[in-house]
Formats: sequence, C-alpha cells, structure tokens
Amino acid sequence: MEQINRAYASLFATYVAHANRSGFEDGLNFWGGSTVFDPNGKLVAQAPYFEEALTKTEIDLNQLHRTRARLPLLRDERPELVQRELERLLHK
Amino acid sequence: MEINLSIDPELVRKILTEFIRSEISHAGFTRAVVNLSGGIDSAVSFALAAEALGPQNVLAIRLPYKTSSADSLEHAQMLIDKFGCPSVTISITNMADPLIDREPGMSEIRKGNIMARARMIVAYDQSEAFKGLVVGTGNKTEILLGYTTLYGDSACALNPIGDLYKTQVRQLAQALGIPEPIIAKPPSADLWPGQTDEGELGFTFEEVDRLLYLLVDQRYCPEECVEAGFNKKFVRQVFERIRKHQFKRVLPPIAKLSSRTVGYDFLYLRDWGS
Repeated sequence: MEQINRAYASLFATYVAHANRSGFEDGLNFWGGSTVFDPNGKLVAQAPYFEEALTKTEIDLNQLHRTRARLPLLRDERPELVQRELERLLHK
Repeated sequence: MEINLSIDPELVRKILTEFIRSEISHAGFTRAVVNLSGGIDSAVSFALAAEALGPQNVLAIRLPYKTSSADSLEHAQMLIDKFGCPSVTISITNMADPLIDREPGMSEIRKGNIMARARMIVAYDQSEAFKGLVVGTGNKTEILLGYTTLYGDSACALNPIGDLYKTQVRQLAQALGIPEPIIAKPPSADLWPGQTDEGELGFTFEEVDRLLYLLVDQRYCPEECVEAGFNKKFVRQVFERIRKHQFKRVLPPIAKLSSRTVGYDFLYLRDWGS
C-alpha cells in the first residue's frame, strides 16, 4: 500500500494522503499506518501501525511547484492522447 | 518462486491477542475456555487467550480418553501451571464408550470422530458454565487439508491460529514460551496409541506447508508447483484433499424457497450491531 501511494505521489507530482483504519472489523485486522507522501515521493507523516492515532502534518504547497519544475510530468502530459487511447481500449 | 513461511512472532502475537480481546468483548464476554490436548496448537491458542484476557479468565480443559497417552495430560498440566489458569479434567471414556461398544470392531476413524465430538460437547458445556467462549485450536494446514473432525475439534466460537501453517505455529510457540517438550514432540491427534499426524497424512508438515503456500497463498496452479520441483503425485494428492474437504470449511447449504434466505440474501457480518 505504501509503495502504491508513493508511486502515485511521484507519478502525479502531488501530495497523497491515505487514511487507513486500525483495529478489527468482524475479525478482520487493519494495520493503521496512515501516510502522507509529498510530490517527490518522500514520506512526510506516518501514523503508528495497528494503533489508533491522530496524526497531523503541515504540507508545503510550494513543493508542488518545485517538484513539477524539476520533473515536468504534468506539463508534458498529453491528456487528449490518453483520453483517445482509453476510449479505444474501452470501446474497441 | 520464493517460499518464505517465516513470521514476525511478536507482531503476530500482538495481532492475535488483540483479535481475541476484540472478538470476545464484541460478543459480550470477558472469558474463554480452551480444550488442551497437550499438543502445540492448543498450547498456542491457550497461551494467546491467557495473555489477551488474563489467566484467571481462561479455563483450561483436559479431556483424556482411556487410550490417551500420559504425556498428553502431563504436557497440558505444564501449561496450566505455567500460565496459572483455572482448569478442569474430565474423562471422556464414559461418554464415548457406550457408543463405541455397541459395535465391536468399529474403525479407528469412527472412534476418533466420536472422541473429538465428545470433547466438543464438554467444551461447549464448560463454555456455558464458565461463561466463556470456546477458543479454537485448528491451524491453517489442517483446515486446508480437512484433517479435522467436523463439529468436533473444528467447533469453536473464534480461532486465533487458523491462518498460521503448522510450521508457523511452531515459530509462534517459541516466542510465547511454550515448554520445549510440547514443541519438540511429533504432532499427534492421540486418538489411538502411536498415531502421528505425519504418519497418517503420509507427508511432513514442512513439505506440505511449502506446497500449500504456493497453491493457496500465492495462487500457483498444480502444474506450476510440479515445475517448481514438487512431486507430481504429492501435488495431486494435496490439491484433491483441499478440494474434497471444502464442505468442512463452509456452512451447510440451505435450500432456498423464500425471497430472503439465511446465507443467500440475509447476509450480515457476524458481529452485526455490536
């Protein structure tokens, strides 16, 4: 889960905050460990595993600019191309 | 393909004791009862329950039959002494024998099933008397292989160790401080003298746990397991055992007649509303 969140944060050059529950639901155990990743994929906050917690962190929105200038994935993206490809895959 | 059956015993211990506390308190209870066979599985379930609920809240039950080995009773006593839990010892000979004696030459399987179900009757009776839920002692290996008596040793209110393979139960047992003779002795249902699980099954837990991990946890198909070096006949045998015993792992089917049938359309979580 943490790998996936880190990958999304890096790929979209954005903050990703993921809140996971802890404790048991009908016997099923949840592991807690909520995370916030910054646009560089760096972990900025994490709650403890398996415990209930209130985890706070400040996020620096200017980091979006800094990361996106360094790695202009969003600027270079061709959404119309992605859309066309998606349409083709979905409706072929 | 990588086969790694090692566990983090301290993390597993934390999750399983929390599981026991959570499930028992959700059901409105604070206590538990555990049938202690003297073997490693019940030792681990018992130790987890004692740690989760406090030793005074766990009743240890010893249920010898006349052919049970003396070691079984002794090993169960070692645990009772170690954890300081209340205990009862009730012979099942007088419960089981009238039924067994009706048919001279009854097969060992039938006798074993009768003993397992007699023990279940005592566990559930003590459950009511002690106001504690029955904590199960079946591991993942035996659940998958169906190496269990339906409504016998498999009967319980909750099972903390049912997702641990036998070889993983051994790792947890070490961390919980289960006495060495219990960990070291060959696993046995002790339903007849000299019986061992591995002798009866025809393979070792070490071998079969590795295969089960590939087939079940990693979802490899039998052919891929053979390619990975497992004996073809062994793979076929284990796969068939898993398939054949599915009925022991699910509730019996109910014939659907109405618009809302328990098990099909009436589907609430077990701890619904609590």
